[in-house]
Amino acid sequence: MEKTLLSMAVMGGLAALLGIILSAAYSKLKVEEDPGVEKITELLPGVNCGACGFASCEEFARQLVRKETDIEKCRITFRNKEVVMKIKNLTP
Amino acid sequence: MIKELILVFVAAVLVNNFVLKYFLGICPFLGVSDNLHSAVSMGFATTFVMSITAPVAWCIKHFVLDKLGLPFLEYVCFIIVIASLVQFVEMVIKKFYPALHQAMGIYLPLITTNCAILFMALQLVLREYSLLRSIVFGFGSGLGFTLAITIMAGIREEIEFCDVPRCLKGPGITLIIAGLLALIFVGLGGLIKVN
Repeated sequence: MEKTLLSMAVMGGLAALLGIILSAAYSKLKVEEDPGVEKITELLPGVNCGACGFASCEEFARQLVRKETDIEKCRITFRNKEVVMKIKNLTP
Repeated sequence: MIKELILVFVAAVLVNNFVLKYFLGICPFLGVSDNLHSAVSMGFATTFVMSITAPVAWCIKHFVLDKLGLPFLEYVCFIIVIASLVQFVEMVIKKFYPALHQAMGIYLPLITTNCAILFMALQLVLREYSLLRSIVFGFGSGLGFTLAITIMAGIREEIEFCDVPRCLKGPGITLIIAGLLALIFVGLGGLIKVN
């Protein structure tokens, strides 16, 4: 019992320490991104299937904002007219 | 003392090369080695993670786990240390080298699951290395990985212009090259005798 609590404390402490270091680093190293990318990523299915030809849904959203690709390329979203319209409105 | 450190270093880089002797870290070795630039960057990112992991793992093992009698937490502790380091490296690369971040793609976060790094951390505990030796071992292992992936990328860039039989194009010839490289590194085994 004592060992269980001890190991929980060790892991928790280590995780908290690393978490604090990482979040401190993140606030210094944050990359300013187009806010549209985040909004579109939320609307995309987020399964990272790769059918659009990009590595992740986030990458697809980034390319959408840059107008390098088309929303119809997403094999999951393209039937859902409502979401497609929403995303089209978000891309300037 | 210094002689011993040099031995550990040479053993880690050449004789016991992680990729070509133990066949660890094959995923990035085959995945990112189609372009020399991204291969070298991948190597250095891995080297960085390894050289920091080595002393941190040593300190956690000796100052925390041994003192509290919790040796079974080794694996989990090392994994979260490696994962956080990779997160940090990814942030730095994304901030300062966006193009490189693009080129490395999914393989950059996958350094976390690069078995070579966990193996290195577990080995330095098993071999009971001192702190200084652990640092040299971690750095050497990373350089060994860089060496292997760089050689591989160089050969693969050249092979693009060669007349490879059609059935061997792509993965086939790559695996054959990897096997031949491993054979070459076996030849370096007689260089020194360290475990």
